[in-house]
Amino acid sequence: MRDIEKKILDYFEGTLDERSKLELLQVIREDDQIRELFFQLKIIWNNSEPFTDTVLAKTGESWDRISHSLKSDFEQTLKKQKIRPWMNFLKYAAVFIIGAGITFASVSLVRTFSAGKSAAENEIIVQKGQKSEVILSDGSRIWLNSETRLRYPARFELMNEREVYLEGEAYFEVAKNESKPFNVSTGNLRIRVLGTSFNVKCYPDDKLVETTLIEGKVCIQKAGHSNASCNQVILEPNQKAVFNKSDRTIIISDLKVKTDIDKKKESDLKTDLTRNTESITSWKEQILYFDNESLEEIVVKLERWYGYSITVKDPELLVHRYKGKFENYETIYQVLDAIRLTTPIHYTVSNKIVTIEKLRK
Amino acid sequence: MDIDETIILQKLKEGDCFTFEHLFKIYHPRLFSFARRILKDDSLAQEAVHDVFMRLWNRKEKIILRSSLGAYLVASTRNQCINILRMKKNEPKFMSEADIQMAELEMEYFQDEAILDQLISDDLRERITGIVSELPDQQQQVFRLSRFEGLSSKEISEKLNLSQRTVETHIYLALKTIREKLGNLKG
Repeated sequence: MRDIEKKILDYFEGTLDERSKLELLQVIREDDQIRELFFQLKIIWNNSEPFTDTVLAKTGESWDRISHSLKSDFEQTLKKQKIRPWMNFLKYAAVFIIGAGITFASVSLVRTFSAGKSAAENEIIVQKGQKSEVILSDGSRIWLNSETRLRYPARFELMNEREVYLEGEAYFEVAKNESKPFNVSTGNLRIRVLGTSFNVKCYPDDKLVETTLIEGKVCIQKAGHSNASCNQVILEPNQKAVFNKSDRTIIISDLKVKTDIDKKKESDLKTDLTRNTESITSWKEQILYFDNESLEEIVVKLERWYGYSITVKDPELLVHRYKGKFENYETIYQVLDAIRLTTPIHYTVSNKIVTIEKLRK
Repeated sequence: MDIDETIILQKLKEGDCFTFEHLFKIYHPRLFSFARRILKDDSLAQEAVHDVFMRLWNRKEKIILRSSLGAYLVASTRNQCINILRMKKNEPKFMSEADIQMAELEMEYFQDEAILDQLISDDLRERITGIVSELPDQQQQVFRLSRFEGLSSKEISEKLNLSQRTVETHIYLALKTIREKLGNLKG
């Protein structure tokens, strides 16, 4: 490598000192060829790194801000458009939503638009405190947990592979079609499927992305590494893959089937962090399940499940662990009362805000 | 400009907020990455891109595209960055002299809309990924660790038990091969 090439590389890596930077600048200004080389390599350098989680998090943050300031503009268009998206939705997608019922409160928004080079897409957004279920045009069935978005093409016929995009938590029963693999993208990971049942939990605020396989086989790839065999893992039934967004590692653990966890002694459970499969997928049967989970984890679940916001004033409460099962018709008060049975807490609820603190005498 | 873009622009002009959200989610990461490389500061970059999208919404009826939406957005982001550089230039805690000069030079180089469009296109990313997968084994491994995993040359040399010089040569050769295979980016 020539001296100038070394300088360029060091500049890209951010290890060049101020004086050498000024020298490099001088060369770039004077030598047309080097200038061309430098900027073209810089384009390649910049465009060969994947978007990091920090960048993607900023997009979410910025969207919240801009959509807040444009809220009244948006509401106006929504009023005008109220009917159209539903019509499109029914016409193209052959999708229906089970949910006129009492507990499946309905989906907040369904929409269709044509974007980029892809065909028409639908998006379902399930708000906090709600759940939903869809059947796609290929027959695949998807249960959507609270605060979840699912984006999918209106039709799969024209595509080589079936692609959906998920933010939040969903349980998939994918219709078998070996010539058309089914892919779930979560931003960080891509899950490839042939025909199978599995649960994916990938909330943007969570540090972990959890994939639990119930039946069949799936392959999980880190985003930005398609087809690189060193960056993918294969999951067997009753295994869970946990992807850590910060260090980008995937850890696989075996799960217990329902029966052996019930036999376990209470003392074992205190240290055992492995969940059983039922606790992971029960949400789709409208059962809120805590499997030896800390209050910190439970608070996040409750916020999503009931659409309340919860503050815990005494952080030492957060490490307490709980086990329990609640049917969906049970209210947040019943859950909080159950926690109060074993832990001396006091809670107040006003305006969909719950405050939990230690009971003071 | 292709047909899809005409439709997208039409929908945006009608005030369709989903189209706006869609554009935001697609272009924000690209524009933000672009701006933070120039401004070397996350919150300034965020501010710049925020203003770009506010303008896009507020002036949506008046937009006329010369080439593509992507080029339009990245050109607005570039202009926003130039404004910020001008304003902040003399603040003592802002970027170093060399960084300011480099940013200005870069802005000058990216005047051309064709090259700006390239900068944020998926097409370019995909072509790069394709070329990388054809590189010789060790060169490829080193380049992937550097760019896809974000490791420094030093970290890679420790990991693979190579000299730092060798690692740097691999990265440089990979960059050069990619450049040759991509052809003229300005074209």
